[in-house]
Amino acid sequence: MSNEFDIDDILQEFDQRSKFAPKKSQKSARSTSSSQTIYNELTTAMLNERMAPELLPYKHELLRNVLDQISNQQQYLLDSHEYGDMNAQTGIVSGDFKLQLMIIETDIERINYLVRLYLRARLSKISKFTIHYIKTTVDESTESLSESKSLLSPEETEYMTKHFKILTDLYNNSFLKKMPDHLRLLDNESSGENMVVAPDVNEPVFIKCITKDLITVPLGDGDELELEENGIYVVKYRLIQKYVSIGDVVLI
Amino acid sequence: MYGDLANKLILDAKRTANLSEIPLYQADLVKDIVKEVQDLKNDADYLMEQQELNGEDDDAEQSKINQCQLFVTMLSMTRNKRCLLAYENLRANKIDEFCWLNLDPITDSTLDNLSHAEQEYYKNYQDLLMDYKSKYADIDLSGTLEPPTNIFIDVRVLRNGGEVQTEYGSFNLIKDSQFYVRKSDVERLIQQGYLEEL
Repeated sequence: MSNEFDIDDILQEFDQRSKFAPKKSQKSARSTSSSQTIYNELTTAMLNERMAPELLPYKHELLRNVLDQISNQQQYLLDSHEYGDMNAQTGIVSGDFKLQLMIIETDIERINYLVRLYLRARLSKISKFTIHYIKTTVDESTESLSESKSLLSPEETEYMTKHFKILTDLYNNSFLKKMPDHLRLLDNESSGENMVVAPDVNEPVFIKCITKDLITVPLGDGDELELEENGIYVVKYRLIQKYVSIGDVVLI
Repeated sequence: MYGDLANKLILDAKRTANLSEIPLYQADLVKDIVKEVQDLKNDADYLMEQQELNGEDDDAEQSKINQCQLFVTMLSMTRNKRCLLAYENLRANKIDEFCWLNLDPITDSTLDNLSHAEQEYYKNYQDLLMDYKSKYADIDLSGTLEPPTNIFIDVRVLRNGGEVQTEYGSFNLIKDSQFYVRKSDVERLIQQGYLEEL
């Protein structure tokens, strides 16, 4: 944790200093203000995704931005290294220059880590509840939602369908094809036993309320729970599901 | 007793869940269970015929017994299927885990423990992962899930290996030597057990 603060401090210092260097000031000032919010959004998205029992809608725009920024930064880093190597002997480049690059690199690593956690958390949920999400996304595609609202990214949809296919092949080749006809289907509800694993929305989750408005959650039996700003609570996920999606509540 | 074999399979699955390696595929057990299901199916067919034959009789007691038998037979079949699916599902998950670990090439002993269908699945899943990862070229998706702290780390070499090229030059993997290197360069080597972070 202390490490994180250090880097932020140094970054801030650089930001201030870069104001005196007219060439860079415009670029870096703009990128830090927007990248700060992106960074926070990404952290929230990642935490929500990690803690929620079900799959949350994919953050299409956010991820697109983040991936763009990462490749920009990496390109910048590459160019700067080249620039640094070329001018190392002439003394134009100061010792701080290397440090600056190191900080950018550390930052990329950190964002990389957040994206990695985010995508991996989603993948693990997709793998766990494959059949369930295949069913729900079929419904979704018939309603023909716009791309920005869909639950999965195109890459994830592809992953899910292909994974489902090779899994089915595996089951079929292992034993299902040798079974009597009525037991051959994978998701057979007629036999009375539902074998499709679905996420448990009743799972308790830790939440933090971040809106100023008071939220009242009905607990059933006439009881209610009031969520105050910055309060931390443990509730069943089902009850606060909709507040997570509008962003009044974050999972921790 | 019907169901005993499936029980054995589930016990094996339970043991598998706690192992870091994938144990041998229980081919015989699976085959026996499938056979048991077929036997049960024959029983069920027979019972069904009986029921139809006795349909005209008024013997309510007998038809109740018959129905009950049929019901239990059906249940046993479904249960066997469920156990088989659970077993295979667990193994598939284990295989997925292995693919994420980047242990390339996967050790032969692990591959030997898989059934033919599973080996096929393993290959397919690896291709699938490659496809998915290639869409996020800038992100090392199979990297460590621990938060990064430093870009450069001290590592010690655990096993002898060849020369490693990095952006900052190259070094030789000689047992017990130490290096100060960039973490992202050597992460894979740490996962494969060549290096140890200090």
